[in-house]
Amino acid sequence: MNLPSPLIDRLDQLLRQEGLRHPELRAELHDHFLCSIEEALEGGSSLGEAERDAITQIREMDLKGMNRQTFFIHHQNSILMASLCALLLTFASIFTFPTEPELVTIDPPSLWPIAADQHAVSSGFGYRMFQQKKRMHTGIDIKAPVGTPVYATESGTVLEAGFHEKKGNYVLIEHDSIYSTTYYHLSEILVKPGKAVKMGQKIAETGNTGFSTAPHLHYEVRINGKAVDPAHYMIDQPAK
Amino acid sequence: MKGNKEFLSGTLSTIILALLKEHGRMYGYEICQKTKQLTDDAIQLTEGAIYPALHKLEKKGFILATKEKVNGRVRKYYSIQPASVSEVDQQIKRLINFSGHLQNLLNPST
Repeated sequence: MNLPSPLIDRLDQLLRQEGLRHPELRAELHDHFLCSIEEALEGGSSLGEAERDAITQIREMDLKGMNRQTFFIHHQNSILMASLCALLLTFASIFTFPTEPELVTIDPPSLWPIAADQHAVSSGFGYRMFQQKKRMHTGIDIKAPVGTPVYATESGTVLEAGFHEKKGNYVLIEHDSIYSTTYYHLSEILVKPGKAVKMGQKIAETGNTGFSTAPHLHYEVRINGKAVDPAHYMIDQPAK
Repeated sequence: MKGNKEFLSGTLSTIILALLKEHGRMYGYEICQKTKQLTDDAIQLTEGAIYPALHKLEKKGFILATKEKVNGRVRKYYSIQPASVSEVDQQIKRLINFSGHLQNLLNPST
């Protein structure tokens, strides 16, 4: 059973007002308090009571502090660097430029890179036998005819786009300070390094280039440069 | 965390890791409720503590997050990063070991 959407909106609005600007954290706390309302309803409370309790609880929290803390966790290095620069500037001149760091979203990539289903996955993440040797497969292979549109699985910046002997035509997108994704064996590349891409934007077409024996897309998700299982991140289908 | 705040500050992340190890995949609210339930309300994790702790563990690469639509909204689930399983096990063992020593220190007669 879904809660009434005005209530859902009101709670999100309240979290915003109380200073929770970090989008990821706000979505989590939004879910958290909606859960507690749902539980109160199951326990026999009225909708009005449950909402009032949640609002009281939210007002009593130090959301601004939590926002700061979360922001600091994700941008520790850049904040330390910025503080150091600010300190130097203070010493260097009597003029300081107080600037608030811009809020950056940490959003895990959540789309399928091509419109396909589980049946099209020909090789998953993990160890596999290759030429009688155990080799780590650092991504997921999805079968697709040459020319199938490839979509950016989250917004970001194109870091690399070009040809590589093994990867074939490939694209590497950096999404934020944690996540990046790669797309190999493409036939056509439609983006250039340095360019911003939006989630769901068509960036390439699948192919059979580089070290590939049949038309497919090799897709990787990386956390701090280390490949993780993309299957955990492929939640939504791209819009056609 | 009523009253136990100072004891929890160094152990919260290990508690979270142990819960995720046991239950596979959990979201924030679920972790709070589970902890409350398993400790007969003695340990109540606050939102202000648990979410920053989860973000820190994710940033360090111990856990990974996935999102799913539930009841018309997005829910963020956390699970142990497969590559970090042995490191997580080590950390849990260290805390169990430590708590054993604590018992000996605090309650020497038993």
